[in-house]
Amino acid sequence: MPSDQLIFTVTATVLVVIGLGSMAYSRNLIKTVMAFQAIVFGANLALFSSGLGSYSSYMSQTFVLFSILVGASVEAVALAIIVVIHRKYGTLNPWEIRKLKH
Amino acid sequence: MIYAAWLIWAVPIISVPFIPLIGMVSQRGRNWFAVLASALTAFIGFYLAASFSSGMTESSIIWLPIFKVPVQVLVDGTSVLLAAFISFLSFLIVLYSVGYMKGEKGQSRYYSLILLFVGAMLGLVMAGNLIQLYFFWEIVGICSAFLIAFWYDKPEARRAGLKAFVVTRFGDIALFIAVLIVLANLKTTNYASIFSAIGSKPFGTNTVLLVGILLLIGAMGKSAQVPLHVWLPDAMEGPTPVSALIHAATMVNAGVYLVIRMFPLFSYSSTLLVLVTIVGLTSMIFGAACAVVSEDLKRILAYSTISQLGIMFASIGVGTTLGATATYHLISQGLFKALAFLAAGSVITATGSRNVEELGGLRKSMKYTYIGFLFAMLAMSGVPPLIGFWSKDWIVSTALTSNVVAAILIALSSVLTTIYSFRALFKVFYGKSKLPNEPKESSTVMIVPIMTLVVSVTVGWLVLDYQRLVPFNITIDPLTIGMSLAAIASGIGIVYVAFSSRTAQTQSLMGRNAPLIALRKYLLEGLGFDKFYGFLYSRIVLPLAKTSSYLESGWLGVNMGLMLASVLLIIFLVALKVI
Repeated sequence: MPSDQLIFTVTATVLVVIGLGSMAYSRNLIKTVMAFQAIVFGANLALFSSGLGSYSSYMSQTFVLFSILVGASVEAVALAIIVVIHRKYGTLNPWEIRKLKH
Repeated sequence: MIYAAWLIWAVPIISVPFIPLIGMVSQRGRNWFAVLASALTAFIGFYLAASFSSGMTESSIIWLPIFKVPVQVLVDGTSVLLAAFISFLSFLIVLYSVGYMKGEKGQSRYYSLILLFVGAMLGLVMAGNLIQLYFFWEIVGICSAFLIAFWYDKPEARRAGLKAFVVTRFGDIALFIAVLIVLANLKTTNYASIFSAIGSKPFGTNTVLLVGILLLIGAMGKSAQVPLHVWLPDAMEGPTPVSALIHAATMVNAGVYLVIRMFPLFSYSSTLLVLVTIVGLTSMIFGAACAVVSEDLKRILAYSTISQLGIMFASIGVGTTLGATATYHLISQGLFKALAFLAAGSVITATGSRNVEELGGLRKSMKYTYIGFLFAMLAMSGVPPLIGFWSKDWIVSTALTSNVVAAILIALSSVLTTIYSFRALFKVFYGKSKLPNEPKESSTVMIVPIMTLVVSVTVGWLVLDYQRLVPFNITIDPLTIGMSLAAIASGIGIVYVAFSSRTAQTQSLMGRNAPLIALRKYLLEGLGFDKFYGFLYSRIVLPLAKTSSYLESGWLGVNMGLMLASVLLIIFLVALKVI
């Protein structure tokens, strides 16, 4: 029976890898933001699991709370930027936007 | 009493945000609020010095209990004396700024940065552990960079600020690594705990040597010692009161203070002391030689600071007085260098020129400035009984008993000191005026600090003799007095012959003699350090940056793919137990 900490860590790693992969693959900026959130949650989970079972577990939990708050505000800003991008370029495909620049 | 030790650095830092707020209501009110805050700081400094009895007191507040990092003040003779000195000098400089910065834009930025600068330096001096010292060290560094680049619409000023920041960064990184090594080995950075642990198991000879070298590099960056000195001559692009503050009270003294404070660590290993001496002597000679040829009034003073700080390092390295000689010279250098800069600033405001070749004959039109500059130069060359005489001759006499080579080199460098001091004095204040119209003496608010410093330079040694914070038992060898008087006489003689009475002959000699021309050009370029660093930058840093920029394609998908590949590689390596 693997320990809770191991399960959490493996899940976190999987989340980060999936997030990075879908960020690389995505052709829509909204999906990119969703993938970014997956990475952030993976990181939060890893931070949370790192404190499990030690005397400083409340420390890691506090920082995870902070991180969730920061993540939410980052997402809000990212979505706002996406709205501006859509107004300006008329597309949300990052490859298309990159082509428009040149 | 212990509250004063907290207040002295808290007062200037707390008053920083009020400066722009008051500035919105009244410009004058803001300026005088800054003066008031620094006057209060100076008052607290004097109170601290008066109420200090003896010994060493620490007071700490627990901050971040989980990492066991306390905020700590250390009250002992050295820290109290330096805090009182720094707060007194900064008060005079802030007062002077009111006159100097009249009519400039961005004064709220100026005064808030100055107060933060002073507060951080006082915090650095009062800090009770290395982490706190490092924290304030960085604030001092960033404030100085911003203040040097104060006139950010001038490209040279921006460049100089950036240069100061980047060059001191090398030293800061070394200091940071040293702090981390100490923290990793001892789990604390409290000075007393460090000193008691020196030589025992986790902090053995090799670790002490490593930490000492890193601390020395940090101090060299901050105190502008060769080869990390290149930022200081360029830092003259800032306003003159800022130069005075950097050279006399705050920035460059931090490095010397670090070495004085960590003296028990340095004295543990004789290798370290020899290194400190070599660094000091090199900078001393280099700075003095460059100051002799420089044509910019403020650059002359900048190079002379490098040279004087070199003397302090050398006197610490000679190591017979536990750093007391360096403390004394730090205060003495601070007083006469502040005086020199304030007088130079007065000349610059009146004439608008910094080039000594373009100035001349200001003795009559700017009497008070002339007296200020004269006393500064006399003290710098070590004419008795001004404060520079006591500090320099004490250093030479202590060096004579333990390290004769260093003593002779310091005595010889005082010939160069006299030459560059009196060259600047003669060129600016004697001879015929080359200015189109007669310059006017500066305003009272600028003259009062200059005159106060003239008095301090003249009677400062009596005060330092009277105080019991750091008992300076000055003993000066008669031989030293003879040596230094001979040095001053020969220096003045050379200057008089070369730059005053026979200018034409000197110029024709310089015009014909090829080696002299080459030497002068070489010294004007600061011995080519700038060129060398530029070469390193264009040959190593730029190609590396260009190469690594290929990784940054600008395609989101490609970048993320590369990142994914590296994450997978790390996971793979971890799974294989390679790392």
